[in-house]
Amino acid sequence: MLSYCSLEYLIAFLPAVMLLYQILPRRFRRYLLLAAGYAFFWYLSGILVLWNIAVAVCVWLTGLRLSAILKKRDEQLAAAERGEKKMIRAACEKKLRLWVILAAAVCFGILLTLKYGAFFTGNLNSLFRLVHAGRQLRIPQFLVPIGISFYTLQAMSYVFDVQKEKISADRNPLRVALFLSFFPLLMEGPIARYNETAPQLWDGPGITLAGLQRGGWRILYGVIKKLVVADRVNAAVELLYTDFSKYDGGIVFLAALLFTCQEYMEFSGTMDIVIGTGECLSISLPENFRQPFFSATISEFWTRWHISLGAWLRDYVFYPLSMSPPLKKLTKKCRRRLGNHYGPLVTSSIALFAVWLFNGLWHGAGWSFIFFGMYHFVMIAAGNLIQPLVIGFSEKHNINRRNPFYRAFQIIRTFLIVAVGEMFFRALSLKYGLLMFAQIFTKASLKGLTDGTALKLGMDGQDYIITAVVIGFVFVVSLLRERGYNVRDHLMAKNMAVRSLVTVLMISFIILFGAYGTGYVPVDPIYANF
Amino acid sequence: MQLIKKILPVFLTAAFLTISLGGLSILVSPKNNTQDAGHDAWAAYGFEAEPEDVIDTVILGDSESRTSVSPMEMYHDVGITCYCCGINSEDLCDSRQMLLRVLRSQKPKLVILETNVIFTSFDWKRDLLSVAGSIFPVIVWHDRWKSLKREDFGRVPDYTSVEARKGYYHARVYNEAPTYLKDNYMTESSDLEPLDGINRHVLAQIASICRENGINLLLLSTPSVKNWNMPRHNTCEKEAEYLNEKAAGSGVSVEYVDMNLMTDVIPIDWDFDTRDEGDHLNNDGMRKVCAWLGPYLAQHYQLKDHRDDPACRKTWTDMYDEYLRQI
Repeated sequence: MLSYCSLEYLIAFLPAVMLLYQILPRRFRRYLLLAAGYAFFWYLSGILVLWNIAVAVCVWLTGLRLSAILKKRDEQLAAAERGEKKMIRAACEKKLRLWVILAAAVCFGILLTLKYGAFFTGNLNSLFRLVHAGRQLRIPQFLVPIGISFYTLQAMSYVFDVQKEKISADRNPLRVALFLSFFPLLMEGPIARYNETAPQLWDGPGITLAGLQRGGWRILYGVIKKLVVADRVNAAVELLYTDFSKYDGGIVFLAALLFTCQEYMEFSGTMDIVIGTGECLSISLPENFRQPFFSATISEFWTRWHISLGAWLRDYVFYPLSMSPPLKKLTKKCRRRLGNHYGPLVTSSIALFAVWLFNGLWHGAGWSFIFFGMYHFVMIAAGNLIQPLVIGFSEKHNINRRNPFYRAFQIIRTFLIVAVGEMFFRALSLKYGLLMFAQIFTKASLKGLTDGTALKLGMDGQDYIITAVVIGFVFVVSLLRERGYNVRDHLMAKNMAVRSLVTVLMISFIILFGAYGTGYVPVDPIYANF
Repeated sequence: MQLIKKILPVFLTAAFLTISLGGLSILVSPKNNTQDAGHDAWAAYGFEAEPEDVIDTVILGDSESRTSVSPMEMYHDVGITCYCCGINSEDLCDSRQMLLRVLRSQKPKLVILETNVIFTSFDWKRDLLSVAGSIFPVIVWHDRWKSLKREDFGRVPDYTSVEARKGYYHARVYNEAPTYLKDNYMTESSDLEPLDGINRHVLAQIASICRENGINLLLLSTPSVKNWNMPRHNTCEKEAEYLNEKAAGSGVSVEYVDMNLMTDVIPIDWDFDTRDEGDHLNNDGMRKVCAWLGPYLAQHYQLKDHRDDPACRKTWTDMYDEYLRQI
């Protein structure tokens, strides 16, 4: 599979697009980006690009319809008497909702059919077997277009934003199509918002030297994360998640840590390449990570990890649900009975449950992904539930919750919770995930980490060292960023020779320490399957 | 001025990068063609330890090439100096880069390309990396950072280890080929094995390098029931014809010899002459191949008998006993 870290992309596709982009007059650049997006999609998924176009057409038409309804409402409101206005609004809301449901049925329908069809049918068959229904459905096998989960959410965000009048519907179908097919966003997001991204893409600002330098560094930083760490630890991760039963608890826990590290380096590295690509083209794309492993709680973690997905779920699932009339009514009731903390918690937990069910399913068609979502739901809900107790306990025992040691404890605790969650996420099935988790305790031992077993997992001592060095480097860069210091900005202010040296150092580092060539297998991007 | 300001960073970065990759290449490249020095194809590179311009024939290819022909055997029989530069699992890009490397120190009269390599798939990235790797060996040897020793610092690569087997990979063991293969593998057919465009392109590049340097090219299919068949034979025959037409008038030729169809003169016994069930030959199979190939090359290409050549005494004549001991 073509990844953003591949030679095809980095030395052929991207430079060719950039060259043409710069040569073309500004008004033609948008069409180049559109053509490049569809060419990229075609290269990865062939004829399945038609699904992307279908979704674009669907949301564009829906946007126009919503816009027409809103326009009519405004005209009616202008001419209406005071008493009629509420009725007009309600009627308009009803119509809007109907069209949004229709668009959601089409877009999510495509997603559910192509990606989840086999999963749902398989489970239905299991249910039939359980009740001895004597009927089995044929499991459908569909080819899934690349990045379908990403562009579907992006497309629906456009519809929701038009419905909520955050943006105006676009009359130009090509602008909507470009928003949904911009090549850096296609495989792994971030899930961009129309008002932030579409105007920039359509505008086609020119490439600048500074943008090229900044974007180039960001791309190289991403390649280091992916090629030096994520691809290097892949051999051990593959082995341990396939054949974990042979190893003791310490090694199984190491598997959880290695995959957490691999996933972060792979996903955030790809985001660096994606955002860096945007910077090279002078297009600003939303950040998807903000030093997630400095989070004190799981709630905070999800505001720093895969930010665009979290924000989508917050804006289009959590808020609409918690603000829905039935839940508002329930909040009032609960507040009266359970007080101001626990009362609203009940209803927010219901919305949170929906968010995490969606989140889990979005990640993949499998029970392990649903469990992954539920695991995080339970962790967040439990955190909310015990929060008053923790505050009470720390006040009673004079524990300073702003103490750096306490903060460090929180960060480590959050990291461990995340790592265990990632273990379920990566496991071959939910059953294997549970077995692995149990094995950490039932075969609890650190022997495997000290007797050389860890060095026979497809990674030798030097592999661990270089992995640790890069993780240490990323940690320092993140720590500085956390404290408001941007290393890249600082380097950009240096003279040309220093900037060139930094570029050369990064390229040389990748060539010397990259996990490529003999003995390494190119690894497909983890999130590209979502 | 504005243009210079824009271009200067690019030149500066390119210059720094060249220096950096050049330095790293020297650092991580094995300092000798030995296993101890970290070279994984030490035997193939042994030609660099030979005196200049003594090798008349170079064999390129994958493991088939280095298990079918023993240069020392042919030297002893007919006096031709041949070196087997084949490497296991090699593709045509490697063969092309190896040929270019050979030409830096030797002036061969004949290049033999074992044809199994022609069908190994690769893509443009592999091609690009092989070219880049020959300019900056750090791309090939980058993983050697793990095993750098003190002596790797401050030394440039200098291949000095003379190989008695001249690239040949010996085997005394035998494992008979399956009956269904040994009896039918060259069944008559007019089909052609498809050849990727990029394979044809690199093959043409190899032929072109040979032509430009006045070297004859021989496409040679060594015996292998596992890897060879008539469609492959037909494709190679067609390619050789095409390349030979292109070479017309240049004074050199491109020919094709398929040993799999020469059972009367190279009577391979697939029960005893193969080391791994018909994939590669063993020493006995190799001897049958060399008994025919040595005189054919000497006569057909009029290769010089070097047995009395003083330049060959030390690394060829005097090493024959060592060769016999090793195989």
